[in-house]
Amino acid sequence: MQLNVTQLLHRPWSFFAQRCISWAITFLAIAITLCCVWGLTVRFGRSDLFTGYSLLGVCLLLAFLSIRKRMLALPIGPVKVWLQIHLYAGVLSLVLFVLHVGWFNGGWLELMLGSLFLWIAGTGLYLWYLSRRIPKRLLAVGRDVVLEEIPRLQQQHAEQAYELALKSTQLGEGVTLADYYQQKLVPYFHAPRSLFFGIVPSIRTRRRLLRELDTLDRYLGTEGRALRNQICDLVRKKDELDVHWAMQNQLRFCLTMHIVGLWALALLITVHVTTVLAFVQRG
Amino acid sequence: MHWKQWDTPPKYFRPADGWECGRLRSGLPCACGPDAQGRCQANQALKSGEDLTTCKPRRSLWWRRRRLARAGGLFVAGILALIIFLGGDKEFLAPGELTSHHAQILSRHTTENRCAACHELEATESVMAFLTKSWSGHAVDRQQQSIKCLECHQHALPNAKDFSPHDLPETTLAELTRAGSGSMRLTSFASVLPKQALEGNELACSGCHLEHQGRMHDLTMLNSDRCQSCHANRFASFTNGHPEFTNYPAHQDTRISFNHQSHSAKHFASKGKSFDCSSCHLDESQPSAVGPVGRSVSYEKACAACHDAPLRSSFSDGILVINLPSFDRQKIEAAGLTLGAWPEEASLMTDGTLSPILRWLLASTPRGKTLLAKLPADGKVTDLSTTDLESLRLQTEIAAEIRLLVEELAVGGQPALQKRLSASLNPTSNSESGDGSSTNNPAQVINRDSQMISGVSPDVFRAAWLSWFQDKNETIAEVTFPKSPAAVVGFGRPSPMLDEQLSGQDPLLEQDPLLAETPVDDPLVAEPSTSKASTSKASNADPLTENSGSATFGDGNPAKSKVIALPDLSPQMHLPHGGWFVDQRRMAIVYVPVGHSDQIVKSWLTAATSKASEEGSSHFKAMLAPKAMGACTECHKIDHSAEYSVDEKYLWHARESDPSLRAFTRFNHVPHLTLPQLNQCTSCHSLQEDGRFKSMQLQNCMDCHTKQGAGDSCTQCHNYHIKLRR
Repeated sequence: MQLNVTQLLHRPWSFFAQRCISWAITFLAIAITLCCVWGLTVRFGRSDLFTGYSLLGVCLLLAFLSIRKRMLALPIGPVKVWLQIHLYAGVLSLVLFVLHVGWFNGGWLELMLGSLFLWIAGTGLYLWYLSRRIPKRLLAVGRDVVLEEIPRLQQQHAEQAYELALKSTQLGEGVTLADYYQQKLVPYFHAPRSLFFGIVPSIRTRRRLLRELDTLDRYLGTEGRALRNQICDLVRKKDELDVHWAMQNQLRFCLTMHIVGLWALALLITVHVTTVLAFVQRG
Repeated sequence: MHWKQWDTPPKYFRPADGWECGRLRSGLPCACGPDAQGRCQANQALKSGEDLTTCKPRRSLWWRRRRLARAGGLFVAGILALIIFLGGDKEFLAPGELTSHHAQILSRHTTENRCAACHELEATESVMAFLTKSWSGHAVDRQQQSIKCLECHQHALPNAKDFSPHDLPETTLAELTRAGSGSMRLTSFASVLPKQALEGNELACSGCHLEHQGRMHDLTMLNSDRCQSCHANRFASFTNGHPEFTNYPAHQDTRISFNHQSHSAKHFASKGKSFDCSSCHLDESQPSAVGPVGRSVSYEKACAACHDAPLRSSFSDGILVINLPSFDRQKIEAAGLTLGAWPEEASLMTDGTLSPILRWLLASTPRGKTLLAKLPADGKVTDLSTTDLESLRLQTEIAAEIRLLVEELAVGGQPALQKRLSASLNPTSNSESGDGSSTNNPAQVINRDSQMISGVSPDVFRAAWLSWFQDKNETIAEVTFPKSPAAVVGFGRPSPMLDEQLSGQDPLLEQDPLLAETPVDDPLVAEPSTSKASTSKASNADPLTENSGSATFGDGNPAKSKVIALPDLSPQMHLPHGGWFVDQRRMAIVYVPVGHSDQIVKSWLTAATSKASEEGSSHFKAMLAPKAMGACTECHKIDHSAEYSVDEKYLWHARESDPSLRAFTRFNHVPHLTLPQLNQCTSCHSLQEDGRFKSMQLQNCMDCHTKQGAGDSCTQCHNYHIKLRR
């Protein structure tokens, strides 16, 4: 079977194949860069200028993701592709940065620039890690929720829990469920989760509440137990939403941290390049 | 209608908008959301009859994130603007700290001057002005910064100003390249690079020495691959491809003849002494644990114990400075010629040889030079004919010339001797000036000439004149000796010549009664007389010259005087510590050296060396002949190579490493001697049969100097900046 280039390009690549190709291209670029730097160094060339210009070019390539997001009409490939380019170009930029800077030796401008670059690169790498880890965890949670929808759904679950607790008193199940709702579930459904949960979400609270709800069975009749089961279901859903909220906020926070230094970095890069070229010209 | 009444929750979220519904965080957003200006659109829904409560829209996360990023940029821009536009510290732009060496030098400079010390910018120039000027096409010489480096380093690297590789001239580099180029071994990645990385003088200091890399950065660190990129003969590493040692340590002439092999196997063995290298080559006075290794050792430490006695023995008879040859007076006078004043002891037959120094002195005048040209090259008068009239006339002329020389020295003393010696060395110089200098370094010449005559008393020449030429010829009367007859021998008296010179030059001394023609008040000068007759009379009365075998001390009255027998002067007996004397037995003025390192003999030989290669300088060549001047030439040699200047060709000192020079290869013995397997010198240095050292083998070093071992970088053993002697 003859396979031409067009078919090859349009052939759907598996995720693993895409990742292998991406890493192969990245390592090839790194290897070429290292060879060029070594060759320039041993031949008394300006390897620092080479790595500097390369780093500047890669930084512009990285910034193109943001431009692509704003210019949706440009026929230059989907944002998904540019995001992948952004990730692997980020790895290359780190290698170039190490080759260019080596080690911090003082110098306020260089220190600011280098620190900012490392900050952005570090948050970028953490974002990359989160983008690989969080979907798996959210998939395990079993729901697909948009962050902006979470408050509405949380409100919805809280009202449903309230109505179930109220219903238990109306069905003659006593005040067991209503009291428990009043004492334990009102803070759970209405108050925001702790900061620690936002950083490291866990199901300990959910387990505790479900265990306590189970202990209420001996005070409940058949209808009461059915209501208790519905409340347990709401507790689980609320916890799932909280996990979504925590993880998606982690992503948003890291993205904010990743983006917040971009203008400052662009400015410092401009000053750095201007100064370096001035010294190259002046000696 | 409330959203809870909807079948599906609102799906329209706009995270990239600048505004979001005020009720979004409470979980009750409306479906329409705010407009682009942040106005709640529930009012519009109310107008259309929908049941919606209004809210106060909030800024979205996206908007606040973007605002935060811009605020960060503005913050940094503000800091930079303060620095750039308000004339802030230029060191803000520095990419890193200086190395500690440069930092401490510049620590005394003001902040403005610190940058300008190395960079081409003005001290008062602001950051903005600097950047503006740099981008306005300011022409800059690429080597300007390197020139600034050399403003401080030119003393250590005087040849680096041309920015040529290894600070060597192009011709030298080409020779070294030709000598070192061989088959290229493609054993390194560097080998596949183009041959020449840089051309000519493009090599800037910063090419290798990169500053602003932190206080502890090693500025002299150089990658070995960088060496390979320029070198014609490339190899992978020291252990893989480095050329074999062919002459290391270099078979340099040690300048002093010393045969390690014969001393070890013969001389030391015969005396039962051990030939221990460290006894001579290790200086124990140094604080180091093993002590630095010296290439040479002093005569007193290494040689004197055995060689001092033979050396003194070689000087025992002294060196003839002026000697009188013997002429046959009878035959000369029979031929109708006059020999003139000449000692009877040297007037019996034609015999003898003019000493080299005497010929040197005679050659200082045109007439003397003419006469010497008629003599045999070795200065022998023995072979002169006693029947040929011309030969006899030559003998009389030589006698007269020698007599004139002695008279001149007796009258003029050291200046006259210096003038004679210098005139021969520098015939083109102004003889009137007396300095005899034609070189570019008059101080050096004066120092040399003063060494040649140091310690000689005019009394020696006067005594010689009085004993050899007194009352022998009428020419004696023409010699004007000092005013005071007592000053003829002048022991302890100021030189009348000096008085005469001073009285004519210094107006203050004109009034000095001591310098008066007739100092009647001075009891020391009881019988002032300046007449030639008186001088002659006084000379005749000299007890030392009257009778060489006895002397009368006192007032001349034999009844009151004590007469003692004076033996002939013997250098061994009377001058064991050297000096000048008149040898009546050999009819010569003799200098007895003080032993090793005699400065007078050294200066004579040095001067003779500088002129020995010239035509008509047989007397200088004779001085350099073996044993002509003692045993000096047995150990000290002459090097005619261009390595040394004219005055340095006689090798007085052993070759020592000059700290101002930087050879291509360096070696430090100290860390090697700490190793047990290397603490014996012979572990690396073995002798050949001819007494020279064998060249070391590459394997000697390769055992330890690997990449994982003691290191194998080029700069571990080689200097880049080379400073050769010339």
